[in-house]
Amino acid sequence: MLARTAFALLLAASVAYFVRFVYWRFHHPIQRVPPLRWDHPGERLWRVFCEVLLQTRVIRERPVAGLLHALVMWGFFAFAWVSAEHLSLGVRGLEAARPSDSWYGVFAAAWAVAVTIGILGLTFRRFVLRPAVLGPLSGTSAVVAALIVLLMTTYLLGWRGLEAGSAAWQVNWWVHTLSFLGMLVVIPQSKHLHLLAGPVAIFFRGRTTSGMRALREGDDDDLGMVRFTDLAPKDLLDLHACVECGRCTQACPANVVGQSLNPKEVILQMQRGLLAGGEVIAGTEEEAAAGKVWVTERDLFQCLSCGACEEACPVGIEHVGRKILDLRRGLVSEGRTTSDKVGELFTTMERAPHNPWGVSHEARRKFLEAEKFPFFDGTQEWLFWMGCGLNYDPHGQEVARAMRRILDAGAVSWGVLAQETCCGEPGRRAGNEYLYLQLSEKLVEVFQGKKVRKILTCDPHCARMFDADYRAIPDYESLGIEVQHHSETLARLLPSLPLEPVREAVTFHDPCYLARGRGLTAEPRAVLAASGASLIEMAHHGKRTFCCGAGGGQLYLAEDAPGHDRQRVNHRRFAEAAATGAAIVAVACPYCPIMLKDAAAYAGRDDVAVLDIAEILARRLRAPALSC
Amino acid sequence: MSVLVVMEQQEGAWHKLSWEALAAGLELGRALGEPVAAAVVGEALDALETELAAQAVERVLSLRHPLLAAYTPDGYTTALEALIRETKAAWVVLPHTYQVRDFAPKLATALDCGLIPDVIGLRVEGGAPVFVRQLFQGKLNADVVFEGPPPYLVSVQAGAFRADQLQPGASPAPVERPAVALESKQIRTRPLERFQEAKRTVDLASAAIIVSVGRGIKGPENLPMMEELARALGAELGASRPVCDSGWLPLERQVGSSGQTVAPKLYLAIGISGAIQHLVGMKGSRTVAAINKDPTAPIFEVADYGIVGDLFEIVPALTAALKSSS
Repeated sequence: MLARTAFALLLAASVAYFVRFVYWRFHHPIQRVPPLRWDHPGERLWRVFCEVLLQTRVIRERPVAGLLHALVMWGFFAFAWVSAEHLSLGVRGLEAARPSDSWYGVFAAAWAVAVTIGILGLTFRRFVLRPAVLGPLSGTSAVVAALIVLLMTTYLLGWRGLEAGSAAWQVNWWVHTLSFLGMLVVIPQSKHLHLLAGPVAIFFRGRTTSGMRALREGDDDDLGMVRFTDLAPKDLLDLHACVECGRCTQACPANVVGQSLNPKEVILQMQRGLLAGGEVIAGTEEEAAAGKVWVTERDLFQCLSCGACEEACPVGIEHVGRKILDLRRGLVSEGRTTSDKVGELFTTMERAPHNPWGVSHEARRKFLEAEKFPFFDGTQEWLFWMGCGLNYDPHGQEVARAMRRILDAGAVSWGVLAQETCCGEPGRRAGNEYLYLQLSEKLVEVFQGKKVRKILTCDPHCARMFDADYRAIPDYESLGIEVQHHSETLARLLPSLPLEPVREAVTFHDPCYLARGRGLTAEPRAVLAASGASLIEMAHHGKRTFCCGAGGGQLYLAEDAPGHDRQRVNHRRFAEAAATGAAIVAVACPYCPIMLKDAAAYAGRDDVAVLDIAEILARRLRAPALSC
Repeated sequence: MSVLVVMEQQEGAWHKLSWEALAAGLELGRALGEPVAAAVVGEALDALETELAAQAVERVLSLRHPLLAAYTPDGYTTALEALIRETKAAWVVLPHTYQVRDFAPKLATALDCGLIPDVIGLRVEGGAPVFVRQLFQGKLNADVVFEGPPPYLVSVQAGAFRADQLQPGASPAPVERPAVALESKQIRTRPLERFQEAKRTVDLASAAIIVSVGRGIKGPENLPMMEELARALGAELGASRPVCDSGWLPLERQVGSSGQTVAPKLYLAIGISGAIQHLVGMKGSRTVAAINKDPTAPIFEVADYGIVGDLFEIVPALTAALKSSS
């Protein structure tokens, strides 16, 4: 009787402690907007099934550690019934114990061995191998590992090693019980809360990476993320889901080349600030050193917004659009940025002709005139949105020429705007929401006036703006515009094009905003295959691609001049591409070739050509038969 | 109807554009047949007064006051407004500096007179000056004349008037120090310490001629050849980003979006393909000449003159030709 009472009290206390601590971690004054996402529930459930139950992401990023983790996690599920039975015995009284003879006991015993192997392997890795990415040694990890080993060995002892009901068996039962209840105490106050928050965060994660929210309608105080009270429900989940594994940091191109940005630390600093009752999230390094803010402006403005961190994260955290870019927006809106380069970019974009290079319209007008591009007047099916890359960059203009040949060969009805301004992408990613709103407002008027229904662009950044960011503007959304990146259009046109494929070795650099930002990896490859390319993949390809160094406004910020103390993102990416031995690096974004050709010149590799998929395809078009 | 040139100094050093403003003022005075006075504003100005008095001006007007030690729009406007009213100067010529841009509109408003900013030329037609200023990013020149009673304010663009052709006066001009009535309560701004931009060891932005090299020069061992050409042209040496990334030249010589933005009279691009981030750094150049072996190199799209060929043949020949002609 005494034992039953003691057990009931201990169980109640542990559960109360657990609930209290979870409440403490999640109970903060935050925003209701944007709410948790419930769209595409089927896809979300499937994602949870794959990433949580099958542990696909955990294993993909780190096969050995991932498998060991999976053994532990699967074991936990196998043990659900064992634990329920174990606890029920505490309520019923230990004298009700019977020797286990069910098949489930054998099954659980097998898992107990697997879990022990898993947790000992992970412990060896964490405390002996000590990979730097895991950060300083964590005491709770040791406690949790010890508790898990105790749980497993006491189970095995109770199952076969000891006589059911004997004194030794009872002691063993209590050790198992206390270990179990200990877990309830440890989990909510450590990164092991990911057991609860992780699967939920994965369910509510955005369908693509780096998505920014619209400012809260009617809330004049919303200038972007400034204070901890600006967090939305998903942000709160993210901060508490973090398991501190550092996969994000390992994937981060800025971090890889030696910059100070560390996405894991951004999340953890935000978590620490939130729990410590902090007020303002980000500021200068001096403010951070003085303990006034938690994240530094310097780190935030190194972000390429490539989304590699979000793609690598096993617990569904959205580091980029929902935190880093939103924090930049908060800093810019409050005038708290100190970078001259950021100010220069905004000034250039604010002034006519409103492009991030400040190049005169004249250059584009001459090009369109010389090439006799048709102007869009509402009668054509597609508006070919050239974007600043194709408008002003000499290589971009080559891509525009290639697109023209393909579109005409495919009998596509298309036209370009006589005048284009920037869609606002670099401005918005660098944090200038006002600039973006100004530019988008003008553009939406143009789209309305020209009766635009379908937009085609070679720039995945522009495509992202028109297909995601702009959709938060009611006047734009009501136009019901369909947006395609040219890889989609070209893939669709392939059957109708007169092609003469020529076999050549090509490696494809997936643009971040296409692969992760739009979720497309097959289309550009289909275009390359139709051109005759035999593809040699880099280690970082598809959704795990590695940024060229241009994203998140960095093409224009490029504030990395001082010293040769570290590698550049584009140099690293080009080296990876060149190592495939392919003489052609294919791209599908106008910014990647700017960065990669720069790196090719640096490496002295003028034998490696950087070409857009449209250029590669256009070269394989059979010359049109001359008509008399 | 005299002419008054307002010179700009900072901490005892002339803003070099002041001399161009003085050249413009003297040109205007000659054309109108009017005397030209020069004014300077500050606190301790002895050396500057002497230097200015050596010029061919009728007199030097030195506005000295402790409250004028550092620039404030209120202080400068108050002092200059009183001076212009007192001397009844009709034409006030200023250099188009950042400081002048700041206070000239305020001064014009205080005097209730017109201001023609950023002029690039002047002439006198029928006894009245006509000023030339640029429109539409320099695509058109406009002739502008004043209406109404004087005074008239004019500021001159950098590089429009020749300061190097200033001739000293026959004898030093008298220096006058009119009393400046200024009280601290009239000045609403309190200047803090001057912000010092990181000193660049190389100032490409103000270079008249730049010889810029790209990865086409193959290696640092070929730099002396390029430096020789730069010397022969009296040019500064610039470079593209890959050249500086490779450490062949220091980063402060980098032209482009991550380096310096330049606007020389002549930009000679050698072995530079012309990537967009380089072009945006030199698009303000008056004349662009390019040497590149690749006839499709984008640099030729923006070049006024282009040579397709081997730069290792062309550059020495160019240097030799320059040397023999001079």
